[in-house]
Amino acid sequence: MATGADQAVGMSLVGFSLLLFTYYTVWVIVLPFVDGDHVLHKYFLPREYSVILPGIAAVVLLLCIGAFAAVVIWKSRKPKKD
Amino acid sequence: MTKLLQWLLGASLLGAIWAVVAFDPLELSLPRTYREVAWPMPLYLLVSFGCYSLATVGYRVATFNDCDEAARELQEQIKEAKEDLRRKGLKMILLIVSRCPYAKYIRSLQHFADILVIVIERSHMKTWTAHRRISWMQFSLSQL
Repeated sequence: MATGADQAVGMSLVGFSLLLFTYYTVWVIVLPFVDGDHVLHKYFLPREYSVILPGIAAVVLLLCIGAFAAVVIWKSRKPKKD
Repeated sequence: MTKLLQWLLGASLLGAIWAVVAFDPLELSLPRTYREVAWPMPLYLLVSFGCYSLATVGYRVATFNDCDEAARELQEQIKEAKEDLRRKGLKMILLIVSRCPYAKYIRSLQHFADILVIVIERSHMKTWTAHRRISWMQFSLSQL
């Protein structure tokens, strides 16, 4: 079996993604069928944010990937031979 | 019909159904809640696919079975081989073997040890030029 740290990291990834999935599912699919004055609405942001927040996350992800690629390419350029 | 055309046909069909339900261009006046649920559907599918990938990666990391005893045995064999080769004076193999980051995960150690022994034996052939020795090592490592 994998060592302790590996197991902890793996299981925390699984738990985090499950949490994210259930929250997003309730937000997008369950909430429109629930009455406007139900107490559940208190725990969720307005529905516009259910589109804006993943959009921002995607942009940030692409920025990080681009920055990483730029750093790697910058580091691997060979100095000119005199 | 090619696979690409099939996929494009399926995708455009689903896209058309989504557009009809979400934007109501034909004035079918479905209940408002269905429109509200259908509208973020592509984004929702993308997010759920991302969650599934993350969960799969995390699960595979947690249940990866690396063999500790085999890893230790391999390190022992590498040390023995290093000593042997140091006496015989071939420094190149030391570099390749000690840099292998996947030594921990190699399961068929016997196979690896066999190749190592063959390489050590071949190094006896002092008539080989350095170029031939390097090609032989690259060949044997590619057999792993």
